[in-house]
Amino acid sequence: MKNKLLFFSLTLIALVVFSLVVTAQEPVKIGIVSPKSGNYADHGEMERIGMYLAVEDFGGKVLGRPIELIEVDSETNPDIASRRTKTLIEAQDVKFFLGAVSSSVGIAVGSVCHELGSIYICTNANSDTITGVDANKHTFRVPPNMAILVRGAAKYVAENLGKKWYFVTHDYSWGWSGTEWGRKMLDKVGAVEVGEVKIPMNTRDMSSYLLQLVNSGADVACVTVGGFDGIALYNQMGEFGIFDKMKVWWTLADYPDSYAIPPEQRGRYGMMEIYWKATPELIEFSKRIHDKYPGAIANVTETNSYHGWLGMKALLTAIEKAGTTDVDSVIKSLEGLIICDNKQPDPTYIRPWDHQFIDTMFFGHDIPGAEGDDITEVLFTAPCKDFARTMTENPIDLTK
Amino acid sequence: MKTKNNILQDPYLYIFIIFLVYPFLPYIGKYRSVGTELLIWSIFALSFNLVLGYSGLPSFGHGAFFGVGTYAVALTLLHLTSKDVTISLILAAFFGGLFTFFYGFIIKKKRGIYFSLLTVAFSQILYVIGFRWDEVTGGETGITGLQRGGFLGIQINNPITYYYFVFVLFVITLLVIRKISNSPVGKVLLALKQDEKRAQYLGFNTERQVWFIFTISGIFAGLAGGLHGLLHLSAFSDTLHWTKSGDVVMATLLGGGLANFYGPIVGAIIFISAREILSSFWDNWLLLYGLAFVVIILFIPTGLLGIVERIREKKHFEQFNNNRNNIGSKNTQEIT
Amino acid sequence: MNTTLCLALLFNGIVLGLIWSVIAIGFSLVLGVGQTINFAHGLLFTFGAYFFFSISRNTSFWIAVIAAPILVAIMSLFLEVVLVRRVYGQDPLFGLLITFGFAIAMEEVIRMVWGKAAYSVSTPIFARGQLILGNFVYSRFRILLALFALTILLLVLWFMSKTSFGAIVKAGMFNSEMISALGHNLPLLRTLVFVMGGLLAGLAGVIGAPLWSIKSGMGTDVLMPGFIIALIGGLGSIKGTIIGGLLVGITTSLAVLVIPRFTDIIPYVMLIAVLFYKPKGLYGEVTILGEVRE
Repeated sequence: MKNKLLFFSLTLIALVVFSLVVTAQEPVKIGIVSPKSGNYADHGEMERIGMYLAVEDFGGKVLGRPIELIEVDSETNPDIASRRTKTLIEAQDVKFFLGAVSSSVGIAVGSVCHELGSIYICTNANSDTITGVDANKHTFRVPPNMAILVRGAAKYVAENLGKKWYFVTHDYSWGWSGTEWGRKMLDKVGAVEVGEVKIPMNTRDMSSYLLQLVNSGADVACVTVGGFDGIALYNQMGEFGIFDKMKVWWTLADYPDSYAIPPEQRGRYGMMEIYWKATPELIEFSKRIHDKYPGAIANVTETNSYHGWLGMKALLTAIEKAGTTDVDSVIKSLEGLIICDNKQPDPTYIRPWDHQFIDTMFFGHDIPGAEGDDITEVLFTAPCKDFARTMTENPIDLTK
Repeated sequence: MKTKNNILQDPYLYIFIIFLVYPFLPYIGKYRSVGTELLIWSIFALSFNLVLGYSGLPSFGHGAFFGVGTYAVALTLLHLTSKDVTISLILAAFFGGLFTFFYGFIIKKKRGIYFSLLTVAFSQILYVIGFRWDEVTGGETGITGLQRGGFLGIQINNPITYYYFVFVLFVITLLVIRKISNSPVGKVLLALKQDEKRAQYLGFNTERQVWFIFTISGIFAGLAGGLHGLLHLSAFSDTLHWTKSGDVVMATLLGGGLANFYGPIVGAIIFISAREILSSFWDNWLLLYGLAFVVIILFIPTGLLGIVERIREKKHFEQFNNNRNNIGSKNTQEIT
Repeated sequence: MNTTLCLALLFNGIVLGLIWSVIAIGFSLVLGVGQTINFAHGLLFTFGAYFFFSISRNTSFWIAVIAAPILVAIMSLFLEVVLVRRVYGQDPLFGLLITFGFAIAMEEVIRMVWGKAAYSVSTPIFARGQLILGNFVYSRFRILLALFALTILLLVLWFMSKTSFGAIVKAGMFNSEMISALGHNLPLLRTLVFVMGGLLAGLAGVIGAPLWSIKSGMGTDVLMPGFIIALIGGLGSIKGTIIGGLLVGITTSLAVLVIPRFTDIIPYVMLIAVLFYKPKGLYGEVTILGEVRE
């Protein structure tokens, strides 16, 4: 009998201990689903810092109620992210969510939030589908998508860098969309495609792909490769001397990645979502980030931190504007929201019909050999609104 | 022996009661999807323990069969029928079984370290296919936005109804697996675990038994995977990754699958809850998580229920310990 | 098809194969002698890369080349003495899980010490630039690394075939009980082989760091290919591992022309083919089948 009792109590203890996660209910709860481990743990850390700073800007309060941030680790795994999101909604009735670095986690969390009726602001995933086929009423997305980034740069690239393009595609949905938009622009800007190589995800050794690129005779390599694979590719491009042979255009340059590359091996062109020297406010913001996180690889406003900050700011502003934490009212006030003090040259606008944040993007060139924090020269800035998908290209309407 | 007292002593009764009232318990009852997850993992761990605990076969690729079930459900809901999940779940179990059937054919002769090596390699093949074949599996972004619909006309969309739906399947699984392990086949497997050669001399076709039990295990692993897909209404290739197979092995060992039939359930409950709690408290929780593996293997390889058994009956423990040593010595024999 | 490109890819395959072999060989030795599936091998590789990164940044490139593998070897000594030794001869899952758990925990330690971001290591000045022969362009640094890998492989090959220690190690793979019966110290042998595996992992890390950039999770990415190459080559066979590595390197490199997306499935397909036709692996002396009968 004794062992049965022990068994019984063991099981019960496990269940009761689990319930200890439950906390008080007064404050406005915001769930942060962000990777603390897994592939994008570094990006997750940066985006959370941005979110803390936005909460700080609001004095830790919204509607006079304290803000409570509840963080869960997405482990860069859509499966675990959706389980933990669901748990927060069920057990703690969390109405607002932010976070996600990879598109898969973004889509997964978005669909859970839609199912259970919470608002989700996707802070750092660029896949077209989040505001396209996978779009839903409850999901908003901060960073520009591939359509915006590629079309914003194509004309400049064709006119200034070269007209023979070779596509280097990360072989999954996000990478494909970059190349697809690049192809659609070929005729419009008078460029020609001379080939394509697809790089599977989690490839560390790029040499075989680079050999193909070297032998292609292209003027411009149009690269849509991200994450750690992107860093490895950038580094190995320097090793193989690609930058001496052709211009390299990254459709989405996550510019803090450049700091991970040895200075003499840099040299890419790329469309950046933000650049830390663009405005005095951003330089100021860089200092704040540095104070919060002295261990960063460079003392700059990182893309992820900026978007974390902007997403949180948009959410809190919308809650203030709605005057309530009711989900439908906050969605209404998020749709069409304009944020003027966004530290960028132009205001941020949230498109009501596809829930896409629209602001400014920056095209830059990494100066080879440049040391320190200022390593990228911004060649031009472009407003996202001129390049975003129109309603005919993306036939959804979330306002209905 | 069959007295009323005996029924009260059956742990099955307590498991039944706890899970039956779980959604109505204070505090923890609100964690409905975690409760469902615990049930699903219990099914998974029970099925895995048929291979590990009962047959003593060190499989390290069971996550793959779980993942196959998830994809079977997701793909049938996507392409065949989205109204009713009956066919999807049957197919999940079927494909789980089919894969293990073919796979069991290849590895039924292998034991010890080679068995582990090949199970790892196989699960990794499935992972690469799931991760790369975007057109079918959705690749990195997986398959999302499924609908749960009904089961034989019963609506299971509500989280509570789904919880009880999984609960019923859990009870059935528990009964079936208990039946199998108490059956002659189960006894042969235990004999196989202790000394395979002796079992063979006694005239048992141990290879066929291994093949059989591996397939049964795959069926339930596939079912668990299917239920998991229905819980989150999605399928992702991450479930197929070999690191995920480690979770079920750990859950089973932690609870004491080697020592007790109910060990996997206790293990699954503690493992999943501990993971959720740890990760919500500390950013670097993986440090403790990894160390827990080490500590469990070093100090309580028989798992929590193993300790319970040890307290209860020293004799039983000694016998078990012999079993474990037998597994070990068998490996060294094979090398020769 | 472009001949220069094909030749370049073939050459690249050989270079890659040599590097992969260095990764796989340590894993294979530990598997053969220790009968342990060392899932921490990837972690040791990662530590090799991080040590190399830190030391080369603070002191010099050459000190780092020597110091990093030695530090990793010391770490693997610790791992063996404190943990792995306790599970020899037990259920193989125990060895696998204990190294797996250790790898998870230590990977987190890397994140705590070095941060979560990725780094790259500068190419040393003497190795910068490319080798250009007509249309053929190749990184000079990579050629030097391949030569380095080749030297390591030849040294290991020589060590295993010409020294008495190598002979004992080989015998240990074939029949560990005989080793004890002959009066050799089996636990010591296993420890030494484990440390040797760690040293090789560290050397592989030194090669991998400047090539592939470094991040805490990099070990997980090389573990599986290393594992497959070890199986293809035959457990514990040095020659087999090198040939297996070259086969995998060349086929994956050339496959980029045909099926770029599934290049990483090729090693597995090769493994299945090898298992069907040569159950012992290419040069293995122990059957991978591990049958109970006979």
